[in-house]
Amino acid sequence: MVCFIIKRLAFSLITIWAVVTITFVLLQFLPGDPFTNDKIVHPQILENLKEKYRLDAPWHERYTTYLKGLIKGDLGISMVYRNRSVTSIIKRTFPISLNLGIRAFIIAVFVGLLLGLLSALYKNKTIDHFTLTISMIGVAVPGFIIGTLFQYFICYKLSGIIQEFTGTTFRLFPITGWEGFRHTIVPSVSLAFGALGMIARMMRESMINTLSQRYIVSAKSKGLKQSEIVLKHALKNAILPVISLLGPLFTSIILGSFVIENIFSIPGMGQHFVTSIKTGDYTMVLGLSIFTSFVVVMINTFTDILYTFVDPRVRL
Amino acid sequence: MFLTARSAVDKIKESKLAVTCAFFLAAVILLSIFVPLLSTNNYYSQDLNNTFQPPLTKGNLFGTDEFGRDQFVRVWQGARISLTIGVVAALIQMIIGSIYGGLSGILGGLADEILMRIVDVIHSIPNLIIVILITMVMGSSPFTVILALSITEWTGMSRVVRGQTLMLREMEFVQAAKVLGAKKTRIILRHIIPNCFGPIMVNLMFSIPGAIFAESFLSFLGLGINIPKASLGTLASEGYRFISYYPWLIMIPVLIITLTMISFNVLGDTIKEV
Amino acid sequence: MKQRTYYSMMLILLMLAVVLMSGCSSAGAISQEITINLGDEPYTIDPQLVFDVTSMRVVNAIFEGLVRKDKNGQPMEGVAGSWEISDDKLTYTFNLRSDAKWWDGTKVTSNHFKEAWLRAIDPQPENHEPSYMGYLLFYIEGAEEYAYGEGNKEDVAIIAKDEETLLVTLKNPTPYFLDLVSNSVFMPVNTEFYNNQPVENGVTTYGAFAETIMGNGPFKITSWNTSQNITLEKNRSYWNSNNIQLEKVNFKMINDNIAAFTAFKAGEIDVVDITQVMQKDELKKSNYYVGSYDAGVTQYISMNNEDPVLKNTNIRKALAYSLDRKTLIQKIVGNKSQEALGFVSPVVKVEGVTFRDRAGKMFSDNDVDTAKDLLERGLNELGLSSLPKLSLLLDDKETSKRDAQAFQEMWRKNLGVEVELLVMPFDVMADRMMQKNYQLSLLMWSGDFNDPLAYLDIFNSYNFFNVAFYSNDKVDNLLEISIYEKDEVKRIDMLIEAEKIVMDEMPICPVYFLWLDYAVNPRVQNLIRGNSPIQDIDLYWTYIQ
Repeated sequence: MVCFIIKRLAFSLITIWAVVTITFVLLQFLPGDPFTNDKIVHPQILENLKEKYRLDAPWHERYTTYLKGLIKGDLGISMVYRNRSVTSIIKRTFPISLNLGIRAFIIAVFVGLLLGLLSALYKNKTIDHFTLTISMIGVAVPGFIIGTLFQYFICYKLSGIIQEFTGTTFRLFPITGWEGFRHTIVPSVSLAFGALGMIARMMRESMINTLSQRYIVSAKSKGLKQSEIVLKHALKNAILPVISLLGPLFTSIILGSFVIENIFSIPGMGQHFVTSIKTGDYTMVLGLSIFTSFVVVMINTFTDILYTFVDPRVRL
Repeated sequence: MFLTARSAVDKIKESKLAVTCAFFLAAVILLSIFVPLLSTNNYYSQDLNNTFQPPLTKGNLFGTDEFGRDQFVRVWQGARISLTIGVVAALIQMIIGSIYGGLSGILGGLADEILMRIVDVIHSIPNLIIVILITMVMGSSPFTVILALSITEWTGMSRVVRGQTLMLREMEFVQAAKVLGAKKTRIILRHIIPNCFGPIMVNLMFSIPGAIFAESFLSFLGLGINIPKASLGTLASEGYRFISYYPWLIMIPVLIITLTMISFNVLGDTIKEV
Repeated sequence: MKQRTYYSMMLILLMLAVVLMSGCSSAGAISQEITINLGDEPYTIDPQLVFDVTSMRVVNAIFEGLVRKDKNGQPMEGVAGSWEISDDKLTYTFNLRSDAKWWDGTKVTSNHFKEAWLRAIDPQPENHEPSYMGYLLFYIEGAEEYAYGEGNKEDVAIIAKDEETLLVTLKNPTPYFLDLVSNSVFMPVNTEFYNNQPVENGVTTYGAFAETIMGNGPFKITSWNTSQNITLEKNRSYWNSNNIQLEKVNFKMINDNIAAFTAFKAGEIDVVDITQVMQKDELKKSNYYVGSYDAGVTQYISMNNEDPVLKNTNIRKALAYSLDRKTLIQKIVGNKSQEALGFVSPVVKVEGVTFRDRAGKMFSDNDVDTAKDLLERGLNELGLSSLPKLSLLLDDKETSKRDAQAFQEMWRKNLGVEVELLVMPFDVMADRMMQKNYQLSLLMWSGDFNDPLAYLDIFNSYNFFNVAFYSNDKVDNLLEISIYEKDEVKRIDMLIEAEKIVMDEMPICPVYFLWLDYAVNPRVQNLIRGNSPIQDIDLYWTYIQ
């Protein structure tokens, strides 16, 4: 068991190293001089900047400096906001993204599991069709489209109707921002949609599978109540495959947040990522990429290890 | 049971939903090929006196955008670009993945272990981020997008093919070929891969919408192909700016992306059940 | 029991009634508070290091220079209560007010200005980036040499004669020097405060946070929440604080235009920039005030005059004449922007004379027939049968992409010329232009000060920003000797002549003079916008009704 955990951690370290190296390689091929900006810069200033950032060292030196810096937690300085380090930006924006992500995650897991459970129990009834449709949409429709549509129909149109109805300027679902609880509802739901679909589907399949198992059938014939069977025996086993999904799901939520934050003007890491791409703030993009990859890899590792604890069949 | 083309088609015929999806995809493909080719308008001609026309106005079935460009042609041109990128990227993924997976399965032992570990590492890397980085560095043309997508997403296919290969390896006809002295490459190409057709097809059916999704994601963020050419994702991104005034500009491309992706998913699900 | 419940209920109801009524009666007091959308996040609010309009909006509110702008964009007294200019127009003596104070109540001295200006031209700044706008100080004697590391700090002609007197000696007579001095880069720095600010990662935190900045302006900063908002409140130590009416300013950072507009409609912000015609039309139906101002910006297409094809004057003129600016503005830009048939912005006024009015049109808009002729002549001169595909570099802004697509189509339709659009971040674009690795590029030029030279200088062959790599001796000469002309009108005429020569050779293609629209909540009075190209919101006289 411990052996497995160590192996898994070592593996994740290698993955992170791979990401870091890839980003370093890409850093070398970046177009343009990293030091011009909205105003074209005097050559003297350019010289001074170049000297300061030591861009003239050979590549293996730069690589080692790069790696050393990373271990210390130095992800570089933003090329655009030059008095801010990538780390300080992460410190400020990641909590917001995390907040959004966790809300979306909770919605996706609870609603997804519930829907999956219900559609398995009431197979081929309305709830089942409903769940299948939602999951199909969630899986197939890109997150930014769902976000855009929700923003338009719920935040803009629906709230507009409510406004007219009540004659106030109170907006039930604000269109942008992250200032209060109401601001979090539509973005979290939009973000959760895709993951929700997958969980519901997986849960449904898994539950149907489990329910047809011999031991369930025998429990039924022994006269146990439906609810007891479901809650006590079936659920535990049906959830297992879903747990294996959690890692990739969280990843998709993180990636989805880039666009959702953009659409809803939420000042999180994802929005910063997108803005940095547009302004060509390469060091910021790379720094954020490394951090995001790190988070993703860690979460995947964690869920993998969690899965081995939870699934008795995998116990070594 | 191994999947053959005929059994796949039969299975599809069984489900009304699958059939509808198949027809829809066929329609999209045909429209995206012929509309830009045959239409009197083209995707870039502007008519500044005819801007923001709603759909179903004379001469513009899907309306016009802020430059007076015909949306009908632009949407199907966009579909052409999105589909091309999606399918080509998926096909390249298929090729890379199959060869890699097949090789790994055939070699077996330590080589297999190492190759698969490498796949695991690549798989764990959040692919979309790498795609974004590559497009940022290399510029955004259909070529770089396809390249970026192909390099990062072939791992799923390789695992599938490897799995199949390991299973097939033990089968009689492969053993027979080995005994007869056939070279490894020949075994892979002639015996293994054709029999992987099933899982490969299924995986392909899911890779294509994945690639289309990734491309739309990039375009929406502004990293897509060069203007004035537009993929469906770019059209959606452009239309987003006018969503509360001229909603058709975003709704139509979005609808097509969605239905296309759903159709591929449905077909993939159907074939999987074989 | 029942009676007690009854009485307690009545008491509760009574209290509720009082509370509700007190809530309702707040209609009497009007809070002098305004919420403005900044858009993007400021890079810094260090006056010597700012270079973008967004950051300057904040700096302009929390700092004050020797001179500030009045409602019409003319220089007016700021920290300097008065000034004298020597007869040879080379020495300026600024007399600082004795009651000019920093937020913490300490006095603003001439040394604070001197240190700030020297900071801006420091060739090897210890703990911050070199100042991008430092070049504005090069008019001062000794400044340019010092900045390039070729001269001494002591030789820079800025003297703090005493606490309230600052003497500056210029290299050449510079009629627009007072205008120049109102720029952020000339604002003072409280040296004691500056030196006390922590340094992180080798970079000083001065200007990076609300706690690490100290200004002397009408407002002081109370908080800065990254990516969310910046709040200011009235600075009671400001020498003119009696005449400042706003008590609180909230700067929000909603960088999506559409989201900002919706927030404006919902009453969440009081001032918003309008980017789409539909937004304007929507607002006109309600009671909002939609204002427009000349941003002092000329949009133009720069052409690489050393490119094998674009070196030919007729080809360049063909490209310029074939654009239909009027339709572009009417149908695509959709606001009061003006066709640019010259380069100097209409906002430039010298001694009551508007340059653009006096100079007039330098060529005709949408002159397709002439353009076609010129194209043919050019092709003949180059020995080509047709023009190869050209490329236009542009940055990622929505407006750039929008306008570029219009140009592309106009050139295709009117001239049969194919142009490829290449979108890239501005840094990359600037880099390529610097290395002469481009053909066409879409740029915006805003004058740093209110004088024709702020625009025409880029045609001087020695000017750093001459990315068209254009060189004409006559133009250089006119530009250089014009500063010695004491008669302002004659000087303007010399500059008009220079512009004429330039437009005749068309090294760059002017497109339009940019106007910007904005909407204001009708309660807001006296919000001044655009009284200076780079300081585009002035809250000095604003109040809420």
